[in-house]
Amino acid sequence: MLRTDHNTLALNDFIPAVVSEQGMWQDRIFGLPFIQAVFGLYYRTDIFKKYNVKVPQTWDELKDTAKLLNQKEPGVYGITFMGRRGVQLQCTYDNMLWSFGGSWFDSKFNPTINSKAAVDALDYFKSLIPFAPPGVLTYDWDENANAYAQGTAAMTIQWQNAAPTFENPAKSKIVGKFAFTFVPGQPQSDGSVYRTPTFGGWSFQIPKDSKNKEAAWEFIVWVTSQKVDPVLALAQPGSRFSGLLDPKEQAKHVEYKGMLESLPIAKGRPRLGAYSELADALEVALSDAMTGAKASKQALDDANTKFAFILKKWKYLK
Amino acid sequence: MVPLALVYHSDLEKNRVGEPVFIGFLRRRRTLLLFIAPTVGVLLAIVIFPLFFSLALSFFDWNVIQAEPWSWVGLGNYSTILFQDPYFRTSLTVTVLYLLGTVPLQLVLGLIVALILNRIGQKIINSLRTILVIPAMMTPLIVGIIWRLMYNPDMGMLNYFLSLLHLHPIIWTGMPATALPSVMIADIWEWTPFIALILLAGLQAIPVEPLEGARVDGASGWQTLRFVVLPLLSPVILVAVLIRLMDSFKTFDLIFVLTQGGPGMRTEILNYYTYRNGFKFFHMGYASALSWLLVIILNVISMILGRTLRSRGLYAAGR
Repeated sequence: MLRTDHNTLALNDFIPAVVSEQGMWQDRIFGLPFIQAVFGLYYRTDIFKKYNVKVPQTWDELKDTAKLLNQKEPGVYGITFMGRRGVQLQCTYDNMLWSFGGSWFDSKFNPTINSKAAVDALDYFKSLIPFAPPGVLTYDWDENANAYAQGTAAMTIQWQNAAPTFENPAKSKIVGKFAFTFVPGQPQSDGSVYRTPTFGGWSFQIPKDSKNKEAAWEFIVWVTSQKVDPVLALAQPGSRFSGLLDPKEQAKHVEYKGMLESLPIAKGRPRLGAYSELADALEVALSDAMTGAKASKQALDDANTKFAFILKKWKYLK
Repeated sequence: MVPLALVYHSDLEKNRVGEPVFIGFLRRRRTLLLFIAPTVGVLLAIVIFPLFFSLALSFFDWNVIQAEPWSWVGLGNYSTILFQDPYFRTSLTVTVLYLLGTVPLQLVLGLIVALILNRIGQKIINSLRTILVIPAMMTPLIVGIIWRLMYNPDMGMLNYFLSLLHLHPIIWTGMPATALPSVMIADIWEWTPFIALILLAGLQAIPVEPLEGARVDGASGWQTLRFVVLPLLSPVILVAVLIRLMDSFKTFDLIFVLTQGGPGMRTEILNYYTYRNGFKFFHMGYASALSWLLVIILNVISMILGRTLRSRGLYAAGR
């Protein structure tokens, strides 16, 4: 790495939070980030203008706005989201959980998914269901993007990479009528709003037993460099400031501005080997609570027990 | 390469001095063996080897994404599954419900269709046969996708028809109460025609004399069906039920596409749960143990079923 041309590498041009989440582990750089995705709030600029509504900044404002706009236009609900049991539901919930102050487990790996903050976040999430289309609990990424693109809701919380679908005249009825901004957050005592958009992405890493490490590294540096990143960004957004700030990109992708604002404060999910299992236990609990099969507290208590079992099995917890 | 003609040479018919009988047997059938060797090789590699590999793996604890090698746990995986894993019990319950909901219904509906078809002329049956076979021949994943589109609460066909009848739309795969029935309906749609064809073949093979005899004796249609046709059909029914039972137990595609095991764990059948453990959480040893438990359970069910059905019907008559 010492021999790499620092101008090409341009480490400073990467968004710091992204590098630390995607490319670093225990303070060492292991790889470079490539494609990013972050959650945000999409809202219909035309509807907001018509009813003179402000963009909601906090979760409570979001609920009030959804309630206000629900069914004001025929067939248009207040909000839509991804409610099907699966990773999308869990990512959506994470936006709320973290800003309410909850977390999956503490620094000693004791599971804390049934804390008061977590239960409150889940109850809040459930309270949005009446203002959403009736099928919302079967919506995965495609169905939600489709529903919003067909104009069935005034707002949606989804990954920023749904924006191209909304911009595509062949698939969307709302081309040019929406904007993307950060997710709402929890108001703090000092007046600021604490937001924690969920974030995920891809990065390049070199496996330990690779036979061509030098060549691999050169490739990685090239493909994430300032020259290539914007080219690739025409298809999927990259992780460099220069790529996202570029006016041509911004003109083409209306969501990049919102993405630039959200990425520095975004939070990634726990990077553990046990992540898949923990996520699954959480998803089952969320699905049970959202469909009303179990009370929020009960569902999260069950998830917590399962978390403890899983963390013990993976030897994180003694 | 020995030409075929030489295989029959009388010289090769005898065992060579000191040669074990079995080797002589093999030697005489060299050509035959050469022809079937590729297939046997493939079967060994794809079926037999993984079978024993997974059996061995089920006694170890191995997680693919961790650097540690296999560690012996003996029956540890099995005991965790049976006694400590609450998700396994939920999964098993769901699987049993699924089997009870699909197989009997498919059997009854298939029988009705077969009985109706039996009365129609042969030409019509031949043309219908192609149509009937289509659902069973479709890739299960495609069946799942089609049904997912139909079940879509906003844009699916089913809710559209409900709205035409001024009925409230149903969130088919989203509500806990309707999720499993929705999957079952798709499964029944997929396999009933297949059962019907199997039963039709059986019906057409029934000899005419017992039926005529029953008619002469004054039996009603229902009595003929119950006391003459069904017993004569019982071997075929047994085959159909066993095939369906074994396949139903292994359903994966429909669940994967329609509900992903949700809502909650309402549709997480055993096969899907095993997939999760093996390929999402990477507990390969645990997943292998689950798979073998599935095999054992299936075998037990098949044995019980075989014995029950054989004690009645055709076999009981001693034929």
